Amino acid sequence: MNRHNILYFFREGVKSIFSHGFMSLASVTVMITCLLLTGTVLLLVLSVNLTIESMVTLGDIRAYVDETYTREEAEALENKLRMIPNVSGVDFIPNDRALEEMRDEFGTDAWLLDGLEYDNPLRHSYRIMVVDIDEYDQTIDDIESVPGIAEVHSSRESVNRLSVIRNVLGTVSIALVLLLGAVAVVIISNTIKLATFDRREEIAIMKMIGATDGFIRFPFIVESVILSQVAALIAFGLQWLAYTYIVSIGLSSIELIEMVDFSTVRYYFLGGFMGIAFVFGVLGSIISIRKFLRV
Amino acid sequence: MIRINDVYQSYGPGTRALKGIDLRIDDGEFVFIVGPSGSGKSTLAKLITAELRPSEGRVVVNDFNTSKMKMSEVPYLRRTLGIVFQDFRLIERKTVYENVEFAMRIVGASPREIKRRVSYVLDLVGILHKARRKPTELSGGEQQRVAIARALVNNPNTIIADEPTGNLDPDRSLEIMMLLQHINDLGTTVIVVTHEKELVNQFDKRVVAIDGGLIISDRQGGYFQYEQT
Ligand SMILES: Nc1ncnc2c1ncn2[C@@H]1O[C@H](COP(=O)(O)OP(=O)(O)OP(=O)(O)O)[C@@H](O)[C@H]1O
Ligand SMILES: [Mg+2]
Repeated sequence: MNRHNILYFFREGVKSIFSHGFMSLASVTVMITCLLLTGTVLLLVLSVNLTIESMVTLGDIRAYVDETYTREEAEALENKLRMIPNVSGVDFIPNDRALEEMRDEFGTDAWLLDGLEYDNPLRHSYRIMVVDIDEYDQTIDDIESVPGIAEVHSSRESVNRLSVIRNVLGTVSIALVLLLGAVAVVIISNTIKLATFDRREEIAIMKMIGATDGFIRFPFIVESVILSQVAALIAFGLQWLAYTYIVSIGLSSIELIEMVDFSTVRYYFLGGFMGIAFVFGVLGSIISIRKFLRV
Repeated sequence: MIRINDVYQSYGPGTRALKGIDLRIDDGEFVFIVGPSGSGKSTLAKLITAELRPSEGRVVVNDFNTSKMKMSEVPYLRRTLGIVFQDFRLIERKTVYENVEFAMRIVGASPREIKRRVSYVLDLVGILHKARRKPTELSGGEQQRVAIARALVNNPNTIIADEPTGNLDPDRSLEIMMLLQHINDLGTTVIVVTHEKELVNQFDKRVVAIDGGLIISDRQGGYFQYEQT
């Protein structure tokens, strides 16, 4: 297989695409649809994930120390908290700082809090950050069981709910990839079947003059690769445009969901689309040519 | 070189096309295989080209044992043969030149070799002046010349032609046979399957006669001898 043949394979592959243009168009369209659907679900998963992450890593866990503890005793808890698995950061907030923070929040009404610094009613507390969101529940239980921790505030409920949504979406996206992948393989293999049918006499001639199966097969593989890569590129472009548009019309202004910035994932999407389309394209073409080579 | 030993060929139960064939064809020979319709001539030709594998017995073609070899070896056996068909089997969307060139491309020849060799064989079969035509623009005799050029282009050891003149008028048929004889004179083994006795009788060649799946005569010169036995 030399470089002159590579040109030949490419030319034949392109010619073949146009010799049954409608079917080629249909298979590209179906593949684009499959990729777009999968991509959209994936973007949703990523957005939900981002939302969860930003909720948790901002240090949403606040552990309050028993009010009978002195400041020194409260500070001594830090080591115990740090030793809990999955805890990435611990920030001690003595009650005087908590009061200051409160003052800041009150703004012009801060005078309401005047005098409290002599008999601070607030408790010492810790702000705690975690590594793995999947361990979130367990970590909170661990924090609660530390002697001296009276109460833990967290966005456990929301995180759990979002986790469920994310997991469902994740499963849906895997199912979609498989299902739509099967659809793509079928449509590609039918397109290539048509291509080999167009060329059945030539294939028979090629076999009689000593062409190897690989030589006969290659133009059809090239055809399916071209089709699949064209579909991947178009799907990527559409996904980018559509998503940017959705973000721009302000879906992200719904506070609840933080949306992924497409530019941070575009190379993964481009690579992913092209890779998936490539695999399904080649699979589809190999399946359909196999039968034709038995001459 | 072709060795066929005690070969039986059946197409499914009850249909025996060949019933014990022994045949040896040496390099450089010119052999006619003759016989009435349905006698098994094409079956024998297909055994040589490995389109069929023998149901029983042994077929060895240019050192390839077709009963034992792998599917993947078949192309390499066929590259030692030049196969010519009654219906020419040219690729219609390609020109004469491209049809012949294509056969060399398949075996991975370099563009330089291709250029030299294609022109040479097209000239040899007398069709070089129509190299840029499409097969549909040629007469049957001309198309068969192109097919022979294609069969020759990779310098095969043997040309095997099943009814190469079946679609041609007598004058054109004679021309094709003379071309094959010329090719044989240049050193290539030629095997021609035919049932046209007038044609065979114009050459003094080895004639293998088949009837009912058996070789009933194998001798030098003339189809008529087969009819007398
Ligand atoms: N594919 C097949 N399936 C079943 N039977 C077949 C097949 N090909 C040939 N036969 C049978 O095998 C026998 C020999 O056929 P073959 O084609 O070898 O004859 P032939 O000598 O080439 O005849 P012709 O001169 O008509 O071409 C015939 O009886 C034919 O019916
Ligand atoms: Mg026949």
